[in-house]
Amino acid sequence: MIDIKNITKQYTKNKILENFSLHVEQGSRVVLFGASGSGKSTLLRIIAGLENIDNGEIYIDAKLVSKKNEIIIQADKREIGFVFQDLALWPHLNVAQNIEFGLKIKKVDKEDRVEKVKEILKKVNLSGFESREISQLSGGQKQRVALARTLVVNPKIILMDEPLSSLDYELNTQLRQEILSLQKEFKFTLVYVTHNKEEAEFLADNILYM
Amino acid sequence: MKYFLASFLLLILFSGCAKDDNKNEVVIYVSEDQVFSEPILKDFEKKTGIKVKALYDTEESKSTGVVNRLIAEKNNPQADVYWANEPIRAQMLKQRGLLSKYISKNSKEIADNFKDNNGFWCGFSARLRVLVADKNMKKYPSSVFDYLDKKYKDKAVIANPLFGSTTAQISAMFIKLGDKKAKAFLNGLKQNGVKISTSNGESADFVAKKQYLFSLVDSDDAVSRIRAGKDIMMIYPDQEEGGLGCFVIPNVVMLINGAKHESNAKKLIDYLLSNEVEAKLALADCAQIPLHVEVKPPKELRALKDIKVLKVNYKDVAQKMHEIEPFLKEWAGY
Amino acid sequence: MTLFFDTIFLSLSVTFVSVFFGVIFAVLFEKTTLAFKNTFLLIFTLPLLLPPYIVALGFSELFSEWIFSFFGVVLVESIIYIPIPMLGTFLLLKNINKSFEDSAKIFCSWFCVLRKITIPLISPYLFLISSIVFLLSLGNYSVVNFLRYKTFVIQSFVEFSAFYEYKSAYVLSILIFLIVATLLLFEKYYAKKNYASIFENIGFKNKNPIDLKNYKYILFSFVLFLASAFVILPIFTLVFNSHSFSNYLKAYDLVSNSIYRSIIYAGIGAFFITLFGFILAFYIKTKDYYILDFFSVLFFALPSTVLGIIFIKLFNHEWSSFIYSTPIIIILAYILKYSAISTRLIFSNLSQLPQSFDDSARVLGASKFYTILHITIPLLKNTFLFSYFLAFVFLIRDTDITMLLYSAGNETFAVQLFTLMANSPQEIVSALCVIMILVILLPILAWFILRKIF
Repeated sequence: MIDIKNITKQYTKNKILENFSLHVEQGSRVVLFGASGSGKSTLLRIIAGLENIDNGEIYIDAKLVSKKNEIIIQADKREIGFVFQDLALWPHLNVAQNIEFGLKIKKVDKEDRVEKVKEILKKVNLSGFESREISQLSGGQKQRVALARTLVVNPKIILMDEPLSSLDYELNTQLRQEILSLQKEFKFTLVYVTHNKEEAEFLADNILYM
Repeated sequence: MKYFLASFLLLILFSGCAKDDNKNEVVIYVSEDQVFSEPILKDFEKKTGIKVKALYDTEESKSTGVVNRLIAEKNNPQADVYWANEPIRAQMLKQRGLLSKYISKNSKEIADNFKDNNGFWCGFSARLRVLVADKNMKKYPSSVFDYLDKKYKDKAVIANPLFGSTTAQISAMFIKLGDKKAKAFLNGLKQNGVKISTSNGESADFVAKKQYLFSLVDSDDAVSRIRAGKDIMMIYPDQEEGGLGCFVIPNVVMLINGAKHESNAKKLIDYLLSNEVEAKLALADCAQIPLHVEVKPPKELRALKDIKVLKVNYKDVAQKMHEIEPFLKEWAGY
Repeated sequence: MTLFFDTIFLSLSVTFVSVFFGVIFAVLFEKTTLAFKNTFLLIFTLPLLLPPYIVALGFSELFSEWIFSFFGVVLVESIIYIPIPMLGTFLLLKNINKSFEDSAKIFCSWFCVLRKITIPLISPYLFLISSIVFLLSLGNYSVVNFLRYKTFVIQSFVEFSAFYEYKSAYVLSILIFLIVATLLLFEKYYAKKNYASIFENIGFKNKNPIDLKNYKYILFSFVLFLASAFVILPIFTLVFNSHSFSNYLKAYDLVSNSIYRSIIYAGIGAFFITLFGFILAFYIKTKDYYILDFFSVLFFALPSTVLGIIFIKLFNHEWSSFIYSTPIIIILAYILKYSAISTRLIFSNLSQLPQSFDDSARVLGASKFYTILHITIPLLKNTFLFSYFLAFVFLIRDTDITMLLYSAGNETFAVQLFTLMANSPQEIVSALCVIMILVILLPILAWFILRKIF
């Protein structure tokens, strides 16, 4: 599904990734585990098409998407989901508006959007939260909304950058269960970044130590 | 945000609807104070139905701001008429080829020394350069040379000689006295601590507020303060035998070369040079002295025939002004 | 050369005084329990709303000869410009991440927190704000002219006006070019290390005011004294000198058309300044096109005389009459002159938006343009509104550039007021000044109402 071949990424004089390669099977769960500054988040951004590479090639579904100094398929065309570390929930939009954003881009009509939002909120245990403002949500609820926003557009690949790092142990445990069951239900390929060993061992088919 | 954009669009529509498509118009640049000139122009509008679009000068840049616009716009003039408040810069504009000849029927009765002999400009409604003094002074100044009197050290004020009527008078003094004596006079002003104000109006106000004892100003500045009840005295300087005399500064009107509304411009020039306008300007607070002999002067002022005037050719004054520019620049510290 | 250094010294003095008091007021009005702080905020903002020469006129009526000196100019200009650092700092303090301060409060008093944490955190932005004040003071013409203090902007004007010399205006512009370049390089070097995201997510707020305890009466009296002596009294003098209501009617009669025109020009100009400012800010942030910032600041700093000459030479031709002889020329000049204000304001807020906001929209399939339209712009709407009204205030009170370019019959209220000051009765001039205050206050009220709606 994802083929990363000998990529190098450098910021000024610092080499973040050097001759890095990775193959991710469709439907699998790969966890990138390592200390801060090891290039985990950068790798996710590269896969998503938000950063270019200084060398190497990246294939998704056998299609070349990035090569040296060139993003061939832009981020908005890769159909990859991304849950950011700070969740990036837009404060000027309520829960439903955040979630349906991707559906609007795909020109899904209003009735279908309302239905899909309702459905996904049910899946993440937030039924009835459509008109809530983001500022009114707790940490765990925000996390679920971020997940819902990513899942509602049915991406084949979902990238998650330490999404549970700011949650307490109990909530962390609960949500990682939910992520796992959602992955099994929707069968997306998951590339997950964490520095929490327990989280890594729970979620991963394969752990990559960086 | 939608409402904001909607309001903005309404604003544009409003301004579009308000656009004036009237082509029966004339454009005039005016150096005479707006408060006096605007009513005259509005009267012309009422009488003729021709829309007057006026652009006024400011007090501080008196006559030079508008003149600079005229010069800058030479290749594509926007103005049709220029109403100057002194003839020197009119002469300068003529030399730069910015003016067109037009001899109005209403200019026939105006004395030759107040109009260009080739018909490029014509004077009307003049003012005099007079002294205003604190009424409580024991002895009033009687000459411009009183500026150099040691007993008035740091107690007198004069408007910036780089602008307006003061420049014209200084240039006339250079012609009458010769360069050496005139330069000595200007240097004497500095040595005697004469304050430089931004305008004649400000100078008159300083004297009215008793911050300074006297100043050389235009007669309209003097009369307007007297009419407002200020405690000042107006003096015609240098009237004695052998004295320089009073410098006369007429308003001047001229047709701009390449005017887009030429026939309306000529009608406006005719109007400005009429007895009617001179009478109005005499009655107004600007108290201008008519150049048509049959029009009565303001009650606070004498008729021109009763005053000793500084006899000088304005063409020569314009030329001299150009020559003394470097000196004036240095004197003013620029 | 002496004049050059004198002018720089004057502008530095004005900047120091305005920023010093502006920051103090901002702290008092945003962070403390000072009584009537919102009223004081409004009072000290008032001088910004007026054409600078009107403030100078008010002071000259009150303080007589003393005001016509270096200290007088510093005082008047500082009063005029204090609102900029005050409002800028006020907004910064409002949006700063409170956890930075809270974590320091464990160790020391509020005064210590402000001194060691808060002010240092916002110092790069304060530097930006100070540079705006410095440039405004450097390019100011009307106040220094009215107070008869010679600066090299006055010199440039005199050279142009009295001697028809353009060359000296250009030479002086080169000097300003060098000053602006030096300022921006210094700012880029200093601010580069310090542009951290120190603000909470936009839209999330919390409050924790400082209790002034025993100091509240002293501070209240101090602020009240300053407000009364340096804002209320000079403006009240103008009101007092207008004497009767009939003078207001006479005054309004003189200027009614130009008021209407001023609102239209300022309204349209402010819109395009905000739009242009956003475009420039966007390119500066995303493409590092700092050259755009440089030019916008340069045009802001250049004397209006020079800009006026450039515009006349560029547009006074047959083919461009539709620009030159219409209000379009003024709007274009406004955009060129004032875009820097909008650009910098929007840039500083744009820099605070997390990159992930854009990235998450992109990965959901939004194009760059769609992301700008639906994510970036809505998140910046308060900034746009503020930028619009700030630009509106600057435009409606502008005389310097308008005077050089307006076509006959299309003068603005500020220009007409300036020309009527010559030989109009004092009561009429004072009444006109009061009308000017009202004309500017009305959109400010509209801004407060619109803010509540949006």
